Order: sequence, then C-alpha cells, then structure tokens
Amino acid sequence: MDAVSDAATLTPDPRRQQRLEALAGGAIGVLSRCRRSDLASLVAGLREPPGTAAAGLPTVVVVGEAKRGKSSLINALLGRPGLAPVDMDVATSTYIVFRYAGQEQARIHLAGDEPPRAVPLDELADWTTVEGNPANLRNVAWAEVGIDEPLLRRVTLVDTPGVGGLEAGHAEGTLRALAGADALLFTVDASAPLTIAELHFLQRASERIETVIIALTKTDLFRGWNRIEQDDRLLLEMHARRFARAPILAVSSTVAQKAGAIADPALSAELRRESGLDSLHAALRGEVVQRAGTLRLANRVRALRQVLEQADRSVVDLVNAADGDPAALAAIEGSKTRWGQLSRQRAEWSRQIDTEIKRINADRSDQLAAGMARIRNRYTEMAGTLDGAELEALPQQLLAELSAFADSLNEKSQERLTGVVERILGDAESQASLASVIRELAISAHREEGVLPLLSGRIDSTQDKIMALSRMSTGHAALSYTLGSIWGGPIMIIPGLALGMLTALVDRKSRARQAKQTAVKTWIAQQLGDAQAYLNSQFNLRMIEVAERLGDAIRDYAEQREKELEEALDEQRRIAAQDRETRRLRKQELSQELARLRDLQRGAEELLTSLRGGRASAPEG
Amino acid sequence: MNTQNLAERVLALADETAASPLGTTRREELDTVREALREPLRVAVVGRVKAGKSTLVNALLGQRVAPTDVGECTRVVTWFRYGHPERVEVLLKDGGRRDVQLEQDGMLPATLGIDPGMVRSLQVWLSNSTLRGMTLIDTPGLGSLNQEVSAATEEFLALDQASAEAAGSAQALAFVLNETIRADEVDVLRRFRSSAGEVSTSAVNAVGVLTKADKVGGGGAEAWNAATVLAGRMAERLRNEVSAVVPVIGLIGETVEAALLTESDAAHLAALAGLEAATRTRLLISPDRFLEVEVPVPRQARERLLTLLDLYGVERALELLDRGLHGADALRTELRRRSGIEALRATLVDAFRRRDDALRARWGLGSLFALSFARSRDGDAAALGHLRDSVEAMRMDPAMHAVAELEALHACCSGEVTLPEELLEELRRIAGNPDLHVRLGDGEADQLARLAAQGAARWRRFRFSGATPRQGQVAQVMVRSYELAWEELSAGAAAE
Repeated sequence: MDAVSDAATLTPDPRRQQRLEALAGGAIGVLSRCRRSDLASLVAGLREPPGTAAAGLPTVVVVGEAKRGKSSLINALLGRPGLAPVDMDVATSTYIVFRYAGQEQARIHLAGDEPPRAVPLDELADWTTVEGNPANLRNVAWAEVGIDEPLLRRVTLVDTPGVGGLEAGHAEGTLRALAGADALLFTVDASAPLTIAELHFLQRASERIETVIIALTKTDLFRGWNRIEQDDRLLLEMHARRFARAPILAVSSTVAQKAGAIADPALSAELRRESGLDSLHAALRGEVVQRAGTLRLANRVRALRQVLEQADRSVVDLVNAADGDPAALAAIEGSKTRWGQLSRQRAEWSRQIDTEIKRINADRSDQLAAGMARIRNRYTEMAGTLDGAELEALPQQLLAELSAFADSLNEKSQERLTGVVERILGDAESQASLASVIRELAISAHREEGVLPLLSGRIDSTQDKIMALSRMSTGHAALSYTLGSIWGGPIMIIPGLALGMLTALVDRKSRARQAKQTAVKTWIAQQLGDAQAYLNSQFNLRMIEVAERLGDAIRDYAEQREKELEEALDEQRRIAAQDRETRRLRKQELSQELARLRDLQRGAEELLTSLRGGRASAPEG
Repeated sequence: MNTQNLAERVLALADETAASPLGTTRREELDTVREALREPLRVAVVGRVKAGKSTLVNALLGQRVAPTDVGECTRVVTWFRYGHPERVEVLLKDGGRRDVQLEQDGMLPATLGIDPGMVRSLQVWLSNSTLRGMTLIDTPGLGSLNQEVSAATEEFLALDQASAEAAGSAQALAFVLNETIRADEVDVLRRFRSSAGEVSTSAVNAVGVLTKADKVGGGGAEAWNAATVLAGRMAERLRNEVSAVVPVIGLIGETVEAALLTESDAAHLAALAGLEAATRTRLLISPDRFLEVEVPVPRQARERLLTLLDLYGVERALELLDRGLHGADALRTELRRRSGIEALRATLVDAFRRRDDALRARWGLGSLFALSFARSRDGDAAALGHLRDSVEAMRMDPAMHAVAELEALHACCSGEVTLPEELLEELRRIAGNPDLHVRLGDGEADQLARLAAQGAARWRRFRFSGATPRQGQVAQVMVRSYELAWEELSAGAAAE
C-alpha cells in the first residue's frame, strides 16, 4: 500500500498535537535521568505519527436496505460511474472494500485457504452480485478493489450487501462489519420516511459505532424529499436519539453523474453542488477523516500514558530503594521473588489456565450444541414456508447467523480467560497496578511484530480494527485486546458449508414441493452438524494455541518485571554503599522526577479527556 | 356453462338463514355478510407507507379524492363505494358516525377534526363508474412508524381475528410494491394468506402493482423497460401470493385518468419542446434545474407540470411532442398508454372482474361457513347447523363449480398441494373464470368441445397415474370443469 497519508487531515488539532509533543519531550527527559532509555526510546517513537498511516486510513462502511442506492452512492463518491455493480435488479452480495491503489485492480478473497484472485474491474459483478454469483457458488468471502481516486487517499470505503428489512442474520453480519469501522454511512432514500427496521438497525448500530452520517439518496427522483428529511429527523429524535444530530445529507448520485458528463464547467460545478456530493465529501472529511485523526492522537496519548505508568512503577521502586530502608528492601525482594517464581513456575499456573480452558471448552461445547439446536429448529420450521428466491438466500442467511453465534461464543470464552489471567497475576502484583500490568501485556504480546499496536493503526482487516477501537480503553479491555489479537479474530468463514449444494438440490423446479422441503431440511441438519463439528474443533485448536501464546506473554512479562526489580535492588545496593547525604540527595532527585512523572501522567489524562471532548460516550480506540 | 349469479345464490342462502331465529351477535354478523354480498367485490389496496396506494386509488377512480401528500397521510382505512348523493361518513370505534364534507376540489379533507385513534374507518360514497364494479379500500401503510397506523392495517386485514373481521374484510387484494420486495411485506402477504379464516388470500384473489415504475433503476428513460423486467421477476418470486405484478406509473395514471392535464399545460409543454436542445438538456437534468433554468415558461406553470407528471412524465411528453403530437387530448391518450394504467385495469378485470362472481360467492360461502361454527348461546344451534349443512350442500352443487375451482387453486397456491408446473398454469388460467375462450382457447364450438374432452382426459390421466390423494382431488375438480364445459358446448350444438 502506498504511503499516502494526508498529514493535514490526519492531524486534527495542532495544539493538541503540540501538547502531546511536550508531554513526550518531558517524559523522555525524566526517563533518561532515571536511566530508563528503553522506555525513553518507546516514547520517542510516539512523537511522530507512524509512517504507514495509509494502512490506517479510516474505514467508512456504507450500509442500507436493498435498493437504497449504496453502490450508486459509492460510485458517485468516487466519481466512477459503473465501478460498483449497479443495475435495476442487481444486488450486491458481498462486502467490497474500496482502497487506494496506484495500480487498479480487484481482488476476490475466497472462503477457505485459497489465495485471493485478481480479476479485472469490469468482472467485479460476476463475483460480487447475487446475479453474477448466485447462492455464492463461487465461495466468495469478500472483495477488494484498489483504484486511484483522491477520496481513497483519505478513507477506505466498504460496500455492504443490501438487506431486505435489515433483519435477522443479515443485520447481524452487517453489524459485525460495523464494529470495525470508523464511521457508518447510512443510506436511506427519499421515497419514504425511515422504516421501523431501519431505526432498529440504527439503535443497535449505536452500540458499536460513534460516527454516523445519513445520506438521503435519490433526491432527484422524489420531489418531496425535504418533507421526508424532516420526517426522518423527527423519527430519529423519537426513536434513535443518539443520532438525532447526525448529519442528514440529501444527495443525488444521478445528478452527480450527469455533472461529471457535462462539458460546461460552470454548469458542471453547479450540478455538482446540487447533487449534494460535495457536502457529503465535506462531511466525510469533517466527521470521519478529522475525527480519525483525533482517535489516533488519543491512541498515542494512551500509549504514552502506559509507558508513564510503567515508568512510575519503576521510579517508585527506585525511590523506595533510595532510603536503604530494610523494610522497603524486603518488599522489593519479595516482589521480585514472586515475579521470578511466576516466570519459572510456568508449569503451575499453566495448569490453572489449562484447567480453566477445559472448563471453558466443556461449557462452550454445551452452549454450542444448544445454540445449534435452536438455529436448526428455527430454520427447519422456516424451510417449510420458503420458496425459490428465499431458498437461494437461505445459505447466506444461515452463514451470517452462524458467524454471529460463533462470535458470541468466542467473546464469552475470551472473557473467562481474562478472569484466569487476572487471578494468576493478582498473586504477584497488588490489585492497584494490575490494570497497568494487563495493559502492558497487550504491548508485550505485540512486541514480536515490532510495533506498538496502539500506535500503528495497523489494520489488516475490518475485524482487527474492531478490537483496536472497542477493546482498548480500560485495563480489562486491554487484556481482551491482547487475547483478541492472540485469538486471531473471530471465526469468519466456515469452509465446511457447501453453500452451492442447497441450490443444486432445490433448483430443479419439477421436484415435488414435499421432496424439496425434505431436501432443504436434510441440508440444514447436515450443514449445522458439520458446522458444529467444525466450530468445536476450531475452538479447541484455538484454545490450545491461546494457552501457549498467553503463557509466553505472561512469562515474558514476569521475566521483565523481575529484571526491573533486580535493577532496583542493584541501585539500592549501590546507594547503600554511599553516605547518607548522597542518599538523601538521590532520593530527593528521584522524588522530583516522580513528581514530574505524575504531572506528565496528569497532563496525558487531561489531554485524553479533551480529545474525548463532547463525545464522552465514544468508544475510544 | 351456467356459472352466473353464484353470489346471488349464496345471498339467497344467507337471506333464508336470516329468516330463522338467531342470536343478536349472529344476526349482526349475518347482516354484514348479506350486505357485502349485495355490493360489488371489495378490493383492498395494501402496501408500505408512501408506496403510492392513494395515488393508485385516485388513478383507478379517475378522480383526485384521496390525499397523496408527502408524509403519512392516509391514517385511517378508507372505503370508496358507489353511491349518491356523494358523501363522506366517519365511523368511530365506539360505534358513532359523523358526517364530513369533501373539500371544494373534491378531495377528502386533510384533517378530520377527530382523533385518528378513535376512527374505525372512513366511508366515501361517490357516483364513480369504477366503483360500480368494485369497492376500493385504501389502507394505512404497512411498516409504518406510527404504531397506530400499522395496527389499524393489521386489524383491518383480519390477520389474527379473522372471524370477527371477516365480514368487514376485503375479498381481494391489490398489493402495492416498490422497487424492492421487503421481507416484512412478504410476511404480511403470507400471514394474510394463511390467516385462520375460511377465506384467505393468495394468487387466487391478489395482484401486485409495481407503482412508481418511473423510479426503477434510478429513473430516466430506461425506467419503464427496467420496471417491466422487474415486475416479471417479482411475479415469479411472488407467484403463490399474487396472480400478476403490473408496472404502473401511478402519478401519470392519476393525472391522465382524472383529466388533470389541461390545454394550457399542453401549451406549456409545447413551449418547452420548442426550446433549443442545449437548454432542454439542462432543464431536464433534475427537478431543481427544471424549475430554476430561465425559460419563457413561467416557473409556476413548470411547478404544476412537475406536480402532474414528475420530470419523467415531462420528458416523455416532450418526446411525444417532438414526434408531432399536439393538444392535451393526444398527450393524455399516449401518456395513459405509457402509464401502465390501462394494462392494470385489464389485469384487474382479468383477475377480479371476470371472476368477480366466483370470488364473491367463495367469500360468502367461507364467511357463512365460519359463522355456522360460532358458539351458539341463544338457542340458534338448529339454525346454525342447518346453515352449515346448506353451505356444504351448496359447495357440492355442480352449479357452484367455479368456487370449487378457486378452492383448488388456493390449495395449490398456499402450498397445501403441489402440481406439475404446466398443470398449475392451467389451473391458474381457468379457476373461477367463466369465459370458455379463456378456458379452452379460440375456435369453433366443435373444436372447443374436442379441446374440453382432451382436457378432461389429461387431468383424468394425471389423477390415475400416481397422483397423491390431495392432487387427485384437485384433478377431479379440473376433470369436472372440462366435463361441464363439454356439456355446455354440446348442449349449444344440439340446440342449433
């Protein structure tokens, strides 16, 4: 990916930026004087935004009911009529990620282990629409389109399958994708006021995403769009207050397209204004790009705060040691011993983890069986009433629901593991500093990748970003994040599902209805059976892996902590050899450094609060 | 084949029952059934909020009477019946009635001055020729955010209290669709279809109308073609729910049918058609542009044109003028053709009017049958038992065979019975339709008689070659249909 960060827009507020600089500068001073050059260099890394910002471009997910003009809107936003497949009766069937790329191409990511396939842009529809790829016979997981358009230097756009009624399985899938996004571009059209289904979706989305922009499309077709806009505003106030102030932007993709095709520059500009696309661009910049800058700045401040907390602990150790006080010495000794034990007695706490994992597996297996039975009953019941087109949609719906269900099990397991880790670490460290220990675990788990996860804005997939955004605000969440990253993200695709099979079974029109239904029911039972077995084995495998990597992370941390305490002890022994006056001066010096450190921490805290400003409920990333 | 006056026979049965001693509730129910049987077929117009239901009603009536403003305007169920003097009555939930005046322009008043929550329905009597053939019932939108509105529709559709509302409910359904068929819409159709009552809806008595065909696929010149294709696919998808899906441009239909396009409008259109090409292109880019570009036609006149035809209709009108058409009448005729309203009328005639008698008779028998099972409290058990026997006897009566056909078709459409595709098509075409040519095709009487004999043989063969018992029953009905047709043709030949 080209480095195309637009520094101007990714840097929201120069004063806050400077404040971070100042805090970081102060921290480096304190850390160098306390001989923690390792931490100082970490902070130095915080001073400049990471160079690979392009990978961290804010993601905007475009969501809406079917035929609300999502794909047309994306085409208009990118100024590329015909890029995303649009037709009277064509529906997008998969997620399509539009990113910046110098070399234009589309890549199709298939389910399972197959490598992505490059396809020409004009064949996109063969892979990403219900018509081109019925019942997802081609096993497409998602698609990626790289093109050279200015907007994509600032944001990554994601087109989503339109959902009829935004209900059930489909909505779940869409909500999941949302969790990874910086912003939601919700498309409604000017034909009618928001529906109940749309409002419900917005209500649920509000738990996961902060920034929502509403695009009221097709204003050229429906003359009464002002009234609809007013109605929508009213409905939002009544039913989804959280978005009552979200911008509603009236747009016409058609007019924008006409504007692009007109030679007369003055008229073209006028039409462009009339199309509302410029305002939408501006809103994306204002609400998303700049906000993303703020989020990222907050990430860096938060990382700084973590380093400062760690420094705080080690300076406190030093201050305590400076007294030469035997009691303090004994405390440090004790703490060091405990960490040492923890790092060496891995077998012991590994057993704790293993036991808990066994329990988790047993419980999860039960929950899985029960959940599968529920899904099976519901779908079997449904199968009796479905016909042609709905049957075609059934596999997708089932898949979406299974994924959502797998996710929820995944989350439950993670939570319980977090509890075990807390118990293990709690023996070695006081509860007070446990949160910061856990935060550090998050860092150490990522050291192997050579970057601080909090800084990089590294986003491989939407899923990674979910965690980056939602799971890093507090200590507890940080551990979940660690686990999440070890976890490798939710289980997305269940390759065992032979999606095409169903269509093959029911496509033959002449088959008697009864026989069809029986076939569908058998299919459902079979698929769910396979899925259950697959999920069980996947979860078990994962747990084994997680236990191992988590063990490594805990051991590494314990070793590091032991070393720190060892240094504190060394320092103390050195000091013990000195005279009282030197000791007093050293302690005074260290106390001053500690005071500065605390000031810096307060400063970081204040900066974070101001970055949150006005958006207190923000899921800060 | 003597299939006429089926509904009258059912009415006679109802009248006969009315002469026996009955409890008060039963009598009231019976009276509503009798009243309905004396009236034309009741067709409910159902669909989402803003789907274009009221515009469609206006178009079918050929007069602008139902308010069609942007916003949720139709908040109460409105019945349009044939009658004069023209008047409007509000029926309240508490049983009260109030008179309301139509506005100066013949429209229903925008506000009733009564809390809509109190209103049960609005009854509008018009001396309108369409209403001679069918009573139209405009409903509040489905999927409405106003809970009250949605509740009103569901109650009206008798989704859960079929028997209580059966007498008041519709006998046929025009389902208004837009560009997408939403899950909840299909759901409503299904529930309507499988509602517990004896009389439920399916492709037997429902048609789909794709209104706003001019907005399909983003609108523009290609919209109509796109809408035609889309309607075909919708019909395929909803084949068990509706007998056809017809694309219509409701607004243009309303404008031409209500003769709202005046000579002065035509003159303004002609002036616009005369503009130089570049100006015209700019004018037609968007509705805003249409109003803002400086042209010799007053802005107010242009606004009126948009209100009447929308930009799509204006564009089509200009094309027509380019081809040498002139005058409001000529424009109206051509636009009517392009609005799809003619085709819709034909379909309604096909689906409802030709089968009107059989549909009403089926509804009447179903309602009476349900009524006969009402728990007897007032010593009317004997009368009800007799009614039940009479209904069953009437259902067996060869003269009521058209009703049996509809029931057979309904059994197939509701998934109860499956038939091979080609046989199902045949059943669809024939059921309840008294027209022998529709049944058999074109030709001389002897030719038709031969076709009828072949038809009977075809279904008999099906019946005895591995059909399930339920399939066998349907096949028996069809065999009988052809036999009756053959008898009629032979009787005609003998008389000559």
